Amino acid sequence: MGAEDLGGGTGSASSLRQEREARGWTMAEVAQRLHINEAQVRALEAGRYEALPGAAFARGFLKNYALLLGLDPAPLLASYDASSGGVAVRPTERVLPDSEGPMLDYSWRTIGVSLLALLILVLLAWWIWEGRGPAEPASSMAPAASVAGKAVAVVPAQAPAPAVIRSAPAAAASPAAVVAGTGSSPLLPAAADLVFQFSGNCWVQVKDATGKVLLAELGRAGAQAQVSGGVPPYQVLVGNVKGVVITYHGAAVAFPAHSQQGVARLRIGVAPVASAASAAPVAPVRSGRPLQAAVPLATPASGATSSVSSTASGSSEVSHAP
Amino acid sequence: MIFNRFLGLFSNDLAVDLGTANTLIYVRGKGIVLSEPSVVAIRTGRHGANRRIQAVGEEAKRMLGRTPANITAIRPLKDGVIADFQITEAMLKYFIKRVHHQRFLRPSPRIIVCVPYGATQVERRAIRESAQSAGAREVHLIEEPMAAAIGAGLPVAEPTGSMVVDIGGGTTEVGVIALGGVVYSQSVRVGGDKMDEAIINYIRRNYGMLIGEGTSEEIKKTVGCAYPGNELLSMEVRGRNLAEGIPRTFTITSNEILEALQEPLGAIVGAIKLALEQTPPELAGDIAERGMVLTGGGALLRDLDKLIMEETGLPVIVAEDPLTCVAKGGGRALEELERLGEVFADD
Repeated sequence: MGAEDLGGGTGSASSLRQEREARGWTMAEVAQRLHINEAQVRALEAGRYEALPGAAFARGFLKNYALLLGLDPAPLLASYDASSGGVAVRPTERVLPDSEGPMLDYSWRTIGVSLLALLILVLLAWWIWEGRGPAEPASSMAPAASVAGKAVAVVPAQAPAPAVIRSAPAAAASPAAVVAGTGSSPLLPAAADLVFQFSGNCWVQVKDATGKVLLAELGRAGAQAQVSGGVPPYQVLVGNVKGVVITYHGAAVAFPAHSQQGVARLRIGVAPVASAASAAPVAPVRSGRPLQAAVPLATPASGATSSVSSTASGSSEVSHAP
Repeated sequence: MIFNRFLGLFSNDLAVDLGTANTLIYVRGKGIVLSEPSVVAIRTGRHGANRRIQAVGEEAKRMLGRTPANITAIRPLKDGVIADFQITEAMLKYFIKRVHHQRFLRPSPRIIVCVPYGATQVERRAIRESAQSAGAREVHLIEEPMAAAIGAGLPVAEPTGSMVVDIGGGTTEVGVIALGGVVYSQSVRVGGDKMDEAIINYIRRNYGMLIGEGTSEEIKKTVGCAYPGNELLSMEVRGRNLAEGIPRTFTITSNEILEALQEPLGAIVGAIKLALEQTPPELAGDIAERGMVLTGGGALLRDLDKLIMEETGLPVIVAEDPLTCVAKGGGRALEELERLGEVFADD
């Protein structure tokens, strides 16, 4: 139907316009019949196929338009194919949209760095945890030891021992550590480390650094209790702060300012120097009686320094030299 | 497993459009190599033993409705899904063997099978297992609207909506596709078969004549139309007169077929309208600008595009070579089987 004589070259696209005008239709009418918009009809007639949405639709519109006008669509489609590089409609090339990458990119480098950081953290934590025991005393020990050395050399008459001896005769219940009461060698006044002078009823408990309970008793008013021979520092628990006065190597121990309902926890004394610790202090406790030779050996070291650190509820630490 | 992989070296990967009416096979690197009706003729020996395949495909289709007692011509798929598992398997096996030319080793291809979007899990599994039993070493399923859209050359990967209506033998699939995935799909079990049925019923009701499925399909292809056109077509039909019991010839026109097809066509248009109602507005805007594309054998029904165009007021395009769109789309997915994992459907 006239397609043959009109077809060929660019005439194919323009044949649509000629046929439409021959029929006296406007573009708007054609657009309405094809249910496409006028711009698309104009593009079809002008052969501007790039204005149409893709090959599948462009060919479809072209075919529908040709059929509407009663033209043979074949030459029109051939001219379309020629203008678009000689290919008809092909299956879609790109089936999936290209993705940029995973949403959260955990690359091996990131993972490696994270693992390394974690390892370092763990090692650090372990080192601090492990180092806590020795590290803390070590920090307070270093000056203590040097002071001790000086003290022994320069000031020989610091002598905490007499002070203790003076208060020694009081009876005490603790069999292991209380020197005066047990009296297996009553003639030898043991150098008591801690002396409790009770002015009211008061529960006291003393543990040494090894965790051994040296004293646990209820002191009555006017009574006195002594503790010696343990491994300092001592953990002291006092039930009634107002009812007791504690002296450590002759120096009175101050209670922490805020003690809850009269209860106070104290940490008294410092650990002995390594050599002294191995030689001296454990022996009297273990044997059940104070060893005279051992105690004086320990006392100058700790006595000279006599640093008393008191801990309120184990948190804050106050240390002062007498 | 290793043996299968070894056999795979001697097999061509396939995309199979296992349709209710026709089965198409696309071979990787070669294109569509087989297009046959999905019909199998089975010959049964004495006392029901020794069942053998008499014919498959076109030859079997000619036997439909013309078989003696010992031969049954069966269409193993109904409404887009497997109705007879064993026969589907036998048919697939036959087709797979036909597209493999070497005879020494059992073919063990990787297969992509197209399934209707509305297929249930059981139906998908049946298709998968039937392909596996037919010798596939790997089976991937792809949904028909997706395959049809790819095959029709629609820009499925773009962030614009593309609407495709695939009218097959058993089902009509309406799909809205964007960014490589199905945004909305509607599947109705109305297709070419229902149209044939409608024609048979119409002729029996109005003419008192009984015709077979084959004749009905012939009528649909020759004078069937979906929209009143300018020209009136007519066709001579032979059938058995119900009142007289004698074969008679009568003439039927396209207008009568149009009337006969009202019900299935109404169902298809209804599905399209429902899909349009459910489409997100941005995509609906895209569809209004570009229109929808018809694929599948049903798209060849005269003036069906015009009917849908008038009913929806949107541009409607019949795809190039609509019968092969799904197979071509499956084949396109097959070409990039390794890369396109996301396109395939789950069980």
